[in-house]
Amino acid sequence: MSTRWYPVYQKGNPQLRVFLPNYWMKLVKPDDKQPPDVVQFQVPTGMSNHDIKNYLEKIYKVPVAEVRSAIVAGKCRPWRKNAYIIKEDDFRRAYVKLQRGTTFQFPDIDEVDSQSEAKRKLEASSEEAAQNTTSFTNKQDGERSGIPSWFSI
Amino acid sequence: MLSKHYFSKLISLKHVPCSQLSAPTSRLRSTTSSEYTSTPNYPPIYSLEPKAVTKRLIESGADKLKKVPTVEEKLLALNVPRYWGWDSVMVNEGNLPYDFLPFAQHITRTRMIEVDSLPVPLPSETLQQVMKTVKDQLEKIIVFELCHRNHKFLLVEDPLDLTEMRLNELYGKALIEQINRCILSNFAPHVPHLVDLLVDFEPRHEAFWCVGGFYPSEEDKWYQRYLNKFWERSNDNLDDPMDRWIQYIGSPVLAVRSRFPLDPIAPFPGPTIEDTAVKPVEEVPHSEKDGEKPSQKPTEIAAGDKTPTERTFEIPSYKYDPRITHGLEIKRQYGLNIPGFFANDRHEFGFLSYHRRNHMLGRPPNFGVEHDEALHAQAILASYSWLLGQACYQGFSTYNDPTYPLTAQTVITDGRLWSFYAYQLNTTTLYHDHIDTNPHQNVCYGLKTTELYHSIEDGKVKGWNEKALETLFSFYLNKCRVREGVQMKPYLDPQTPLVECIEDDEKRNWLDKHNKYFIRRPPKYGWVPQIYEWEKIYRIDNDTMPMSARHKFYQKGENPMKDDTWINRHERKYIPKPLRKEGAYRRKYEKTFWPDALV
Repeated sequence: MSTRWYPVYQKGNPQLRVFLPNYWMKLVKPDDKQPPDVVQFQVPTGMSNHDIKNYLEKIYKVPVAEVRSAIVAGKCRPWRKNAYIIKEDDFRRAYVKLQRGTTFQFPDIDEVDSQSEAKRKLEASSEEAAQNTTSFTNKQDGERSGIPSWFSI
Repeated sequence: MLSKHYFSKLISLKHVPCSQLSAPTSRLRSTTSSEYTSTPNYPPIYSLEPKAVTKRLIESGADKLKKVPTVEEKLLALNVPRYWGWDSVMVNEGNLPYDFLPFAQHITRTRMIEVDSLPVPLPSETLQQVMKTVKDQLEKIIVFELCHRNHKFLLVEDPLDLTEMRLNELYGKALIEQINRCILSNFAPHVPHLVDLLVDFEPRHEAFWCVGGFYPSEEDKWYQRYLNKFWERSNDNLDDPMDRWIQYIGSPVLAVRSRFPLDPIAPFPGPTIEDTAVKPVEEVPHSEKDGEKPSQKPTEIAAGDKTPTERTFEIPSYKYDPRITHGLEIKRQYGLNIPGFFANDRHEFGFLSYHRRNHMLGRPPNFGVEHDEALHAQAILASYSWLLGQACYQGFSTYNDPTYPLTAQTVITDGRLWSFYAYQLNTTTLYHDHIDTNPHQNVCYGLKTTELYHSIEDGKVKGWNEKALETLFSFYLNKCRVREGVQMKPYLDPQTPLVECIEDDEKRNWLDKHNKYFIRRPPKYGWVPQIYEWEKIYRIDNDTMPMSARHKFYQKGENPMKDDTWINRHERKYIPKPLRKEGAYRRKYEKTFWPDALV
């Protein structure tokens, strides 16, 4: 399925449509200890077990034996400190059992990241800059609103 | 604060001989010399670490359970510690997820050996004649049941339920009942042990046992973390292995029982796990196409006394959460051990059980050809559970190992396809750390699924499989007899092995009533302790109501599902004043007789 509207297909016309799903699946690090032939995903709540199976088999050619999934409620957290509670979005957690003989191990992402030290430095500096600006704006908008900036340090 | 001098005194006492440490007062001084030994005997020193304390508590509970006098009280004792029931992994017969064999082997500690043929006792000449007549009768039975009888009339509950699975079950059931009747009635005049057998139709076969060492799930960790925070403990215990209770619920088509046990089929207690473990061999590159999982891969044993086609499935370690790996349900319920009859039945040993295989038709095609292994798993669970139930009626349990082997013969069939299994129960203790330390294992011998006949053409059965027929007959010829020189019920009181032997009317009636209360698997009514959604959001995850009264269990650091026992929660029955017995003490409430074990 695609969100784009195509002209109605007539016999003999060129094949314009490629049917790709509107869904995307997020491969996540398993919460619990799992055997090597079980893989955990986070998928949209609208996706069914058949969709998940077809998605993996047709697009990625992964041999799937069984799919089990359930909707998980998003976490509730305070929006700000001492503010009201907001709820994050729900998602569907899927456990995919692979065919016998196929195993999967979630890659160690920390190692991959440690290679790009420069990238990390850049991120740190940009974070610092962002913090400075927020603290400055907070000062201006919050407790010291209406007071000129030279009033204190 | 204790002084240094105090400790030096204590230390110095260690080196003083025991005889000089006697009490100084004459009242305590003993005149007998037997109290004194040349070497001092100190009491054992127990570790006070939480894990060691838990272990000691469980072991003392197991010892207490061993001393409980009657069968019913032992079964009742399993449910006393949990007023709301045990969180148990529900294993239903016929529910066989993909790749179920490793899990089934792990929770039953069974070594599966797939053989070409099971040992067949040599029949006498007269019996061989009988076998021929039985074969002729079987042909008539099969033709009649499959060609000349409309089984759809049996679909009383839902006449439109004409699925292939349902019909397969109906045909299979009809055939099994007739085949068993035919063989028993023809063989009985020639085989003495078949005379005194009992046949159960669709009995309840249930078993309840504890398996330790499971990895805790995120949910378990969440509540443990919360309790740790409440009691200001460290979070070291989050990854500790946990016990899970397994509840098997099954119902064979037909089960045959006898008064005496079958002969053992393997040595007892048999080779240990270390003996049979697969020795590491040189690594062979493992291609994905033809390979099975390493833990699953059967090992070809090239020993002289074994046929080359024999393959063995060693016991794997499969401690994962069964909800994730196989989608099994965890349900709070009372644990039941029911081998299909009440504890006071004289026919207390299993002889043969026939199980359905219609669920195999519902397996999706992408499961591949692993149907034999699914059937192995079904046979292992069915045999273990039936034998565990029988062992419980002999006074053993999941906490106390049987002192002699028990044997079962299991057949899984729909009338045409047959799988034969012989199982020997050697050990049942898998609780807590015994899953890692118990050296013994159970054995299951099984055949590959074979056809009994190929097809029916023109009212004749074509393509008889003589070998399958021979194996079926041999299951009836295997002897069940008295185990000589074996004490069958060592952990039961010889005077009162059953509740019905108790002389005290009040106690007998009370125990009988409460045992039967659990057997009917009652639903819980009333308010069950639970955490509502708003409580989790606004009180537990985010403490937005700090000033509200803290009355709920989770605000007091309690776990009602574990701390509520039947002894402290059960409401005793009130005796109205006119009914109270005369005496020095007129009791207001009726007595309770909860067995003292595992609490």
